[in-house]
Amino acid sequence: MARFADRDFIDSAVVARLSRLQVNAATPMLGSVTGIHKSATRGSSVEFAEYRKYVPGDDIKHVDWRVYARSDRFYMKEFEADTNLRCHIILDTSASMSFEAEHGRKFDYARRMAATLAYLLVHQGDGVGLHCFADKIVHDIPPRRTPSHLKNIFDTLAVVEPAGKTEVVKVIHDLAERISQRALVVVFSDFFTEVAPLLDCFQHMRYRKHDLAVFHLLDRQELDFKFDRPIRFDDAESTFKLITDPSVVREGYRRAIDDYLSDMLRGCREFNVDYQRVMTDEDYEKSLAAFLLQRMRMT
Amino acid sequence: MTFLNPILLWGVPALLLPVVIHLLNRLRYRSVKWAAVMFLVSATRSSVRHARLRHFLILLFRVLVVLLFILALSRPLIGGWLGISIAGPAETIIILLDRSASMEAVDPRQRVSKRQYALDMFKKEIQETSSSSRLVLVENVLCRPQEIAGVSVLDAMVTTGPTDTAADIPAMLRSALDYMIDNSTGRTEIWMASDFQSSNWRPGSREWQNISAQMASLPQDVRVRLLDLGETYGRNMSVALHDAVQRRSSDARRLSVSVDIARETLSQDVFPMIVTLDGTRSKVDVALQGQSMRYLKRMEIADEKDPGGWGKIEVPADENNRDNACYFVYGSHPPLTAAVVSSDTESARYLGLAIAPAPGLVNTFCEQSFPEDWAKLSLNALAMVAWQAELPEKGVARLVDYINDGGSVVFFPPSGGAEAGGAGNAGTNGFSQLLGFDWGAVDQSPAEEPFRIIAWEENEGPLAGTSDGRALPAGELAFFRRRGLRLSDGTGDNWHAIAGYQDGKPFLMRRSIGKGRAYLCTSLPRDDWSEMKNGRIIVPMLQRMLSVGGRRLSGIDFGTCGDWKPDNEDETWRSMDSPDQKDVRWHAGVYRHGGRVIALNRSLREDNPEIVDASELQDLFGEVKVQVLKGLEKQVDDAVQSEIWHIFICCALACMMVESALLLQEKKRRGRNEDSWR
Repeated sequence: MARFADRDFIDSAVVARLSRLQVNAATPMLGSVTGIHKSATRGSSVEFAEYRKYVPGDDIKHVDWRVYARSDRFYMKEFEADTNLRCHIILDTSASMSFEAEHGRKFDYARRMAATLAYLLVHQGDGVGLHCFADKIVHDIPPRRTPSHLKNIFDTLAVVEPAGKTEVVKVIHDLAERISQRALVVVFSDFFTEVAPLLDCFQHMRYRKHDLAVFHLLDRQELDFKFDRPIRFDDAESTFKLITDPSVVREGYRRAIDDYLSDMLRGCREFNVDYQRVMTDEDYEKSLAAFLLQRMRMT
Repeated sequence: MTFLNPILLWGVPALLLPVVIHLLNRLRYRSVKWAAVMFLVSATRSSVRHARLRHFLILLFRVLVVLLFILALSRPLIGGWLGISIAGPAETIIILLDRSASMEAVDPRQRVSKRQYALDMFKKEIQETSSSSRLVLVENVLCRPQEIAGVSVLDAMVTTGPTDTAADIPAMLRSALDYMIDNSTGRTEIWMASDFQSSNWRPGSREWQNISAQMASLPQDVRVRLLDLGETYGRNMSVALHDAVQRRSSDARRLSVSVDIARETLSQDVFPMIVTLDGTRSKVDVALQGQSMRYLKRMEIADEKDPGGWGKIEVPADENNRDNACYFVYGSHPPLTAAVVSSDTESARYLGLAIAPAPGLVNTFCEQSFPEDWAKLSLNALAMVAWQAELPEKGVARLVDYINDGGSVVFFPPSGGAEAGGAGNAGTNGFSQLLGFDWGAVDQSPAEEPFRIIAWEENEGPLAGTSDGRALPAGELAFFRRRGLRLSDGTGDNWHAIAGYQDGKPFLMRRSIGKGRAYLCTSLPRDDWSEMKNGRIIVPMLQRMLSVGGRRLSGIDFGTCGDWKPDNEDETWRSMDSPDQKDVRWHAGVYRHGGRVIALNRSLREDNPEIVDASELQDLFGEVKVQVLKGLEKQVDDAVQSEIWHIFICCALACMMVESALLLQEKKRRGRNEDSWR
């Protein structure tokens, strides 16, 4: 297990408290080994799944003779399979994630959540991969379930810093194609891009049968827009600058971001995406616990 | 618009203060690294237009507030009829209508006379702004207030028509003032229309001080709105009668009529003059050199025309037809007798010679009397009395009645009595109180610098020029002694100076009493008093006084339209010169009543081109609020107007309220947004 002493983004106390919860997949997974998640295939667990008609070649030991006695037909008794899952953590490392208000950077918040989630997954025997992206994927760690792999992930998280423009849509489309087996995909980003293409890539990911969860990281300042004096806003990802009186644009700004968030929420519900809006002034442990509990209730 | 404190207008650059503060505020921005720029850009696109408009309006109102306060502190003045609209209609409007002859000048652009223009203007403004006000008319002839039902009757009133009279503006104001005192007029406005002729306004009169002081002390608010119609058009020609004298030679009777012709330009050198004698018209071409001339017309009169007739002299029509004609009458003159009442033999002798230099030739006679015997004189037969003695104490009423009946009395100073530096009569008697004067001390001139006459009336009166246009040599005479005059406060203003010395003290004064005239001459035809003994001044002077007094006896008379009044209102005076209905009270012409004939001419005061300067007006009206409106040019004269700073203050407050409302609206909107987000 990785040591936390030199990782300021992982808190052993938080990890210890959250370890009592499971990270569940909302959809059946295709794992390589037996695990705690429901498999997409039938297996040999004790939990009955369904009946199906006998076809030549089936092992007759699974024929339900009682049903044959009642109906004079051969039905095969099938049982659920439990498997492990692969989780792909996609972390936005574009410059916009470096936005910093009084509660710290959004990126640090996302990094803490990603690290904790990775630890919990590995801890319960699931594989975890990490994809850090800005305009392209800058760090790409495929999922593994060994504790040493967790060290790689932590090492990467320790060195990565937000920089560059965001190409979240392109990156998610790419990953949707690249991730071959169904998996749990968790995206940490501020998603400051057009909603429609973003929902397209979410749909793409769902089409590939991935269990998609998105953590939408927002700062309170970005929602409230509480400024009183003229301010020059410097775009974090470009050289664009805008001097304006916040009192003049506040109403329009709030209307725009309200519309954006509404569209986002509606699209995620439509495509069955687990949408988590996270405010960076909230405790990340709480946010993560809520996410895990919600998932546990779903299964 | 003008300002009482224009120096404060230098504060106008302070208008930039709100703009500069706004710009400085905009420059004091801080930088923020921002992620959600995409929403900021879209919000800027949608919000900025309305917000900019709102901010621009707020800024505009702030600038307006500063501007209006600066203007208010500069104490702006406004004129024009706008001022009437702002002040609201007055409870009473007293229209002072100057319908003197000079007000009949027609503006070539408006094609109406000044009087008619003023009436139209008043009617229009009253109908538009003050239809509920009580209207009172005071015109210059009757000079008494007439309450009128409405402006619509103004045109139909005979007292608003044209006249040949002169105006006495202080008397009109006095009449208006008396009306305001006698009636509760409330907030009153006096609307005047005048061409500002100095002879009508009499700016030197002490009456102005009394009027302005009383008007300012009235409990009600009184304003004067003055329509300035003083513009002249430069094309007018006037003719005025100087003299009409009938002379009999051995073979014929001749009538010599001299007229004064004046014009404002030199454009027309020869003009036709129409002479009407007893209804027969004839045309004479007159060559006019310069701007004025005295023209002498001699006419033969047939014997059968005896005892007399009338005539009229006209010049061509121009912008003011009221001064284009003058009228005269003639007739046989009875012998004129004058009396010299004097205790000084030398003075009496020379006065007698001046009155009757050659009794057989000029048909004038002189009686001599001592002061103590003057009661024995038969005044009814006298054309003139020359009084050279102390003022009488007995028989005062008899002498005043004589003047009232049309007689002439000329008072010369008593030769004895107080010497230089001393007082004359120790006290005033009844006669001096009635006439408003008393003799003062004898004033001796320095030996090397005698008193001299430097100013006198050359156009009319006892010292007028001769019929051939030459001035009397009044300025050439030296005066060594003169007697001072004490004019009483009550009636002293009625004395009019005809001639004065170089130090401003009068040589000759005149006062009209009833139909007659009283004169005061402050020196004597004595060697130790003056050079008048040479006769160059005193002969024509006394002859003219005698002539004026003699009209009472001849049955023919000359008068000034407006000044002359019938003896009683029952007399019916019919016009002889025109079939049109004329009113003897204000129309010039020849009139007959029984055996009496009179030629009334317009007042020569109307030919005086001098006008009152606008800067003098405020002095005349003192503390009374006066607003001068340029009438025919439709321009506001900024010299005398009313303050409207309170309007600017109200506007500034209104702007502040609008600015506050805009700010509150924005604040409320912000608050609403905050609530909706929470």
